[in-house]
Amino acid sequence: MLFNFGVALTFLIVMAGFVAGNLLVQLLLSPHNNYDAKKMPYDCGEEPVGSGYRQYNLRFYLVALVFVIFDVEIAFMYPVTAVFKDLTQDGWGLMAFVEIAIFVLILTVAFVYTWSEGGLDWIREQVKRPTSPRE
Amino acid sequence: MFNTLPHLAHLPAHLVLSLGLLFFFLGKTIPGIKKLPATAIFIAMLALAAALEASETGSHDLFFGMVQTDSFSRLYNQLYFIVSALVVVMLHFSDEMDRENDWENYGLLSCLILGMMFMTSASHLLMAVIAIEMVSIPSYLLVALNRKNPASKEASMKYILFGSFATGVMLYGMSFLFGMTGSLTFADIWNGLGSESVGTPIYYLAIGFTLAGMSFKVAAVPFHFWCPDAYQAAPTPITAFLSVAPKVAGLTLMMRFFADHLPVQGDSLTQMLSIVAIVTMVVGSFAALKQTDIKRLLAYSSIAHAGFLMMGVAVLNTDGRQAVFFYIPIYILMNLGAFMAIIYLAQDHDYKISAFNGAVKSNPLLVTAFAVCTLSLAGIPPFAGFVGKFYLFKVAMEKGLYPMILAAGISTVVSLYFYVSLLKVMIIDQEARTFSPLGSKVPVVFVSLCALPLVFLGLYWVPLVNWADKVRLFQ
Repeated sequence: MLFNFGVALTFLIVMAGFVAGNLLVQLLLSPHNNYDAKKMPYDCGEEPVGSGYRQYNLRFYLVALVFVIFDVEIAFMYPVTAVFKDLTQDGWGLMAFVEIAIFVLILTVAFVYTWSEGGLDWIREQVKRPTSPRE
Repeated sequence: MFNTLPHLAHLPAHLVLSLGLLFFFLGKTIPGIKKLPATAIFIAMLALAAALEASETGSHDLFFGMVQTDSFSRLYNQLYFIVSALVVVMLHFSDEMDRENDWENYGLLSCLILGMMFMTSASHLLMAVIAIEMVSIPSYLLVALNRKNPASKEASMKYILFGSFATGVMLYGMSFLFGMTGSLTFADIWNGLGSESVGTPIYYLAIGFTLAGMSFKVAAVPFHFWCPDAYQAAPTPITAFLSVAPKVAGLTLMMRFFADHLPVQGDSLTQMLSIVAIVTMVVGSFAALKQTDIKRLLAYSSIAHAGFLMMGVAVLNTDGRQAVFFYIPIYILMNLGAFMAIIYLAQDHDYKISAFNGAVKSNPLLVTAFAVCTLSLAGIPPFAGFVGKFYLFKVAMEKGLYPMILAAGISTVVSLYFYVSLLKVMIIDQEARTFSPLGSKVPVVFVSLCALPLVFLGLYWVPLVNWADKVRLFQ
């Protein structure tokens, strides 16, 4: 059993060594020809205008977050549908359906919550509430 | 096909809490329900769950070995409900959390309590992971909700990163256990490990990494780094809750995980647990000496107490479990009393120790009750903390774990310094500012009601011993 671990370790070392070796060869053999235009960020051939660093609106993050959660939910549903016919023939069809329905239901609760609380609105209304000044 | 559905009849409190969870998250979306008083409904839900849990009997192995309900899990579940109700009272007197978010807060708390209940009844590694995450993720959110302390988001971020790392390490260790034994239920793991793998490096690695995730929840030492920051920046009622409930749940998970071990494995497991306990006690006590913020100091003190409780877990027998269960109600009272006193006395959310100078002049009864709680935390004789520590020392002594007792003794003596220095600041130092009272006497009554049982139990603790006697695994 320990031999198999040794095989895995050797594999890891050879992998890392191969990558390191390639980079070393490139460092030694490649021509060094640095000029300014090489270091500018690539914008499909256009000249970049202004600074690349700016503060993005939080709504993009919220959209991405909600997308990721429901995309993972879809990814979980794919295997169930792929084997559903075989499961039905073995008599497990109802059980599989109920299980995946419970999973979707739990995520639907989250969906209802985020929809009603304005998480999906692109433009949210400003609620003016009296808050104490931050320290 | 649905042959595990009747198992749900043995989990009535869990069902009540799940329904409560759905209610608190969906209730805001339905216009008629939004006007109902959330706090009253939450407390009613906890009371119903406690009553259902108290009416259960017997020991059941549910859902193909995933969940095990017995008197151990029932009694701890009732403690979680009591702690949550007390924390809701504390929430009322602290303005650090936005009252507009009450529905979400109670929903998160319901998920947390449900997770803690599953942590106490888990008998399968995957159930343990799910339960730990069910407790961790709401606590990440609750720590971030302090609107008076801008550092709470940073503290929550630290907690999230650390918790994810600890969960990853724990899953790695669990994968080793699965690889070695081919099963994930606790009983099968110890049988599968048997006697030939004891002492091999992979044995220590697998169990050590699994222990890592559990000791993250408990804030035991190599995994305690999130604790001071999270406790300092979280809203104080949430700090009080975190310092008691998830810690106890993590300890019960550890107790249940290690309970079914074979006698030949016992020594190595006790060794691992005592090393963790020793380092936790020592680091927790010594690191608290230099603190200037009272919530950070109480965080390190709760780390040290987790170390003491792990002393009871490390002996791996029924006496140890009973000593731990004896200490836990006392620990709950001490901690909640101390935190409530701090909520009452802290003005403008200034939690530096120097801000509590001379508090005794304007609040003599509160500071007296706080002194009882603090001296009980230190383990001074007329109070219940001494009796609790005595039982923990006794079970360790009976097992012959002398280095651990030595470390525990040293850390108790060292911890006395910072507990008494808190009292010195409150009682002897001159008032630096005026303490404007909060207008309600309820916090004072709360802290006094926490302190009175500590005095009573310190002199006559037999009723608690009798209650602790009823805690038995698998019965």
